[in-house]
Amino acid sequence: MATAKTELLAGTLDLLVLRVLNSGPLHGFGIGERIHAVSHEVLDVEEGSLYPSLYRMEAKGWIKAEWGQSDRGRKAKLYSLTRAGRRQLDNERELWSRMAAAIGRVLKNA
Amino acid sequence: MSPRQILLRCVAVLRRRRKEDEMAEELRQHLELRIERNIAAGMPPAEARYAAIRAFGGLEQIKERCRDEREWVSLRMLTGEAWSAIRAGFRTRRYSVPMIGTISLCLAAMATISSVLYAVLLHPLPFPDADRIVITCNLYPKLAVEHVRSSVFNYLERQRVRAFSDVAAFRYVSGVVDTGGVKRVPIMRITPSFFRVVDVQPLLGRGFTDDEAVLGHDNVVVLSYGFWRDHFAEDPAAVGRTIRIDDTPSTVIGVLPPDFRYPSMKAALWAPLSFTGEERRILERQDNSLDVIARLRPGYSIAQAQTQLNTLNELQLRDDPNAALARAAGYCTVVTKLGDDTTSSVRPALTLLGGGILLLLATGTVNLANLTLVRFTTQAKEFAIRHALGAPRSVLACRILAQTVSVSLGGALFGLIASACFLRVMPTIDALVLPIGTVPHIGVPIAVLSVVFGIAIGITIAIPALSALQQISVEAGLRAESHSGTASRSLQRFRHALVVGQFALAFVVLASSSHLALSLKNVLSVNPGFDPHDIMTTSVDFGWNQYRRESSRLDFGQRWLAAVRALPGVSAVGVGTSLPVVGECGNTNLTIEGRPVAAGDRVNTHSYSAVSGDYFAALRIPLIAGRYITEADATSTTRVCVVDEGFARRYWPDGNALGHRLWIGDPDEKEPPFTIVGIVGTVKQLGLTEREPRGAMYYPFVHPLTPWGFYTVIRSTQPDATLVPMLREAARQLDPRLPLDDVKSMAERVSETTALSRLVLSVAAALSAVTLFLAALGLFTVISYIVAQREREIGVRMALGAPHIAIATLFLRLGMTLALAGATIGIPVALWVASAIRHLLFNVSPFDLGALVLPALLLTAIAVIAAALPARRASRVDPIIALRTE
Repeated sequence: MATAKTELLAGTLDLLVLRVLNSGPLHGFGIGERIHAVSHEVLDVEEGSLYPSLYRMEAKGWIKAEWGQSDRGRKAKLYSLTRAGRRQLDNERELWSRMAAAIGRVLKNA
Repeated sequence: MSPRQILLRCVAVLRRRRKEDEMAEELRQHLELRIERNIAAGMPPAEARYAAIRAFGGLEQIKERCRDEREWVSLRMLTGEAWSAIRAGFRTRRYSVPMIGTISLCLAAMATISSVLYAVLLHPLPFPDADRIVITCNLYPKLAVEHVRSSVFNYLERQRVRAFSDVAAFRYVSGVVDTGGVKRVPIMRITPSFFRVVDVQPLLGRGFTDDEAVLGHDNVVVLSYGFWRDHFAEDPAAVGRTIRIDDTPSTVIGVLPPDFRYPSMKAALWAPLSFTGEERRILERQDNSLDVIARLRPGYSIAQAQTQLNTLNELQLRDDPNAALARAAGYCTVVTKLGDDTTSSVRPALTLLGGGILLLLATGTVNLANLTLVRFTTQAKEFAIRHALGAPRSVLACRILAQTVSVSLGGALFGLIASACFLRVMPTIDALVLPIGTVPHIGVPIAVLSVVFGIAIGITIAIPALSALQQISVEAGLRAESHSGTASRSLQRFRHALVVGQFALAFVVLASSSHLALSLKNVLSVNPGFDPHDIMTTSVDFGWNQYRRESSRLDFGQRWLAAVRALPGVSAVGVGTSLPVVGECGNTNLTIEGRPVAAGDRVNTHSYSAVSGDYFAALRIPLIAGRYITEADATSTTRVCVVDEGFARRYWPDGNALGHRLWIGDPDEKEPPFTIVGIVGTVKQLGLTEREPRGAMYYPFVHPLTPWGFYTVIRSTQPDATLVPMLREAARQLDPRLPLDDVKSMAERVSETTALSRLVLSVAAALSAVTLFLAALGLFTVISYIVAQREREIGVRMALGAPHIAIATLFLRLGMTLALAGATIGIPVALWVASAIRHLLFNVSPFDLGALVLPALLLTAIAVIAAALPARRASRVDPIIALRTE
């Protein structure tokens, strides 16, 4: 596991988790794995950040948790997106693209 | 934070254990998945596990961060703080024990009194929908006759009032029952509608039918539960049996439930009330001999019933031959809730006690607030440091509140237990004064009230400490309130103000008790107009069957007088239809010959009673002029009477009342008038507190007025234990079927009339003692605290040569100043209270110096004692030790 750990930008973890959950319910480990895989093993989500983020978003009502069966047939706590979470995802995605574009412009032209 | 989030977080705190388990499970699975992935990547199992744990990081830290996201952090801190405060309460018993003690005392008193108030004032009657039952009472305001009963005619006419769905009447009588030995028992004669009005069904059998209220068909009886238990051993076969009442057989048709106690818990038998044709006449309309109650028809209010009754009265006066007299007397009828009417005698006294309890609670609360503040100052340093280290004020406030509320709830619990125990013992006392034998007990409402008061007190006593908390700062906290400096000025002033407030409250309670005590003293020192000592009294009531003939009653009276007079140690004996002070004397208008009542004249009513034997001599009622009534007057051809001094002076201010003639009631050609042959001293007829005796007339046992029963007054120096059996034996020899009733010394009867005042006074005295004790405790706490605070300063003073006595005086003077300041503030309040309870006071002015000066002196003395202990300790401070501590 010689992956160079790339620090996530502050505040982007929530966005990533919401995006991953948008494709369907998943447990905590699965969320981390998915982000790791989709980012071509660039992003590695630490448990110490992932779980507080999940609990925070659950408390805010963006995601909800249910005990269910994981893909391998064992009991797992599955998180899924709520309607408020979907709205939040849209907002954050919008915000992120504007931010990324802005940062890109600064990097190119300054 | 949205309300939903607040709710979720609160729920999270409450369902903490489950959430914790879930979180642990979730993280454990995560770890396992990681291990599995490592194994899948080719690591050996042990290595895979270590790697996973390493990558995972600190499990507990993650959990803690999750908790922070999930729960309401401050709430979690608050609950933790509260628990720690409660645990600390068990350790610092020096504060918690006196606090719990004070609260238990206050709340025990409150629970006891409020259970009495609740039972008597809020739920006086044990009937369904008791609020809809009313009583109608006649009033003659122009005769100053308030609130008398009603007549048979009233009962009949009021059935026409539309607002009443049912009207019932009852009359309290007595009868001799033969149940293996003759015994007189109280009997309630009721109309068949009575059980419908109160809406109670007999436990066994049935109530009366309308046919059974007809003379001749009324030989049926319903037993009270007590009578059924005592004489039939709760045998259901009692229904259908026959018992003899006044030698007349009556069939038992029912048994009442055990808690049935209106209008009297003493009634043993219930019989139908039937009326003679004579009683039903309109002429007898003002013969108020029974009580009339009614149930309001659904949808009608008391006010409507009152209006309809007023209209009815007005209408009926047109046909009433006595209308002029009734109008002159201001005849009217008032409709009152039955419950209010039943409790009216004790309402003022109970309200007063309720007020006293509030004062006690206030004193206790002030005391505890002070104690809490003192405790806070000992913790101030700790609080200041914790605040500096980041503990929010809310958490510190929670600690204070948890301390006070837990202690006050504990106190409420102990108070409830104490009160429940007390109420178990109390019924022996209160049966004497509470109407219809109400038994107060601690029920759910009182328990809830106590808990609510407990919480309220817990919050209230924390207020001064909480406001002090707002001003806390590290720098000030570390400097002030420590042993090296002097107390912060504002806190100290506040503590002093609390002590002054306590003393003011204690003064009010003490002064009010003094007013009550002076009032009782005045009542007891009233000259009743006769000598109640060494007098035994008893009563005899003749049954209808055996003594129907007037001569038999007269004959019994004469033989009875002779028999008692012959007993050893008896110096005088007399009989009469009433006893002074007891208030059972009949009253009516008297018509003096030659002085007809003109239209518009004020009609006066006077007491009248029939007497025989040495009634006046036995009671030592002095003879002012003429002569007493003798036994011979009963059979003499001329009718004579004796009037009292008040009566004589009212009508003959020049003093020549003797020889004038008068009629009882209105003049009647068939009845010869009575000639006044003597004037006797005025006695208090209605009670010791009677202000203006209404004038009395006494007449002999003359035809056709020979009474159906009388009291006997016996002046004797014999002890009761020997006299009473002799009297019973004498009566048995005259007529074995006629029991002697109600054997009591006159002194006891007089004393019974003041039972309520004495009970109120003893409760007030207990309240004063407690409030005074609390005030003293408060002062002691504060001065002890000040002495401890100023130990260093005292040391310096002593080192500079201040004598011991000067140091002690310093604190004694402070104590006295605070106490006197309290008394000064208390004076106007006490005056206000005294004028508010005027109606309970007898010949006591609110400005009575004794009632104000004595409490002030007592307060000062108590303050000196309370301050003396800490002052003594102050004077013993060793300057070297005081200066060396730190």
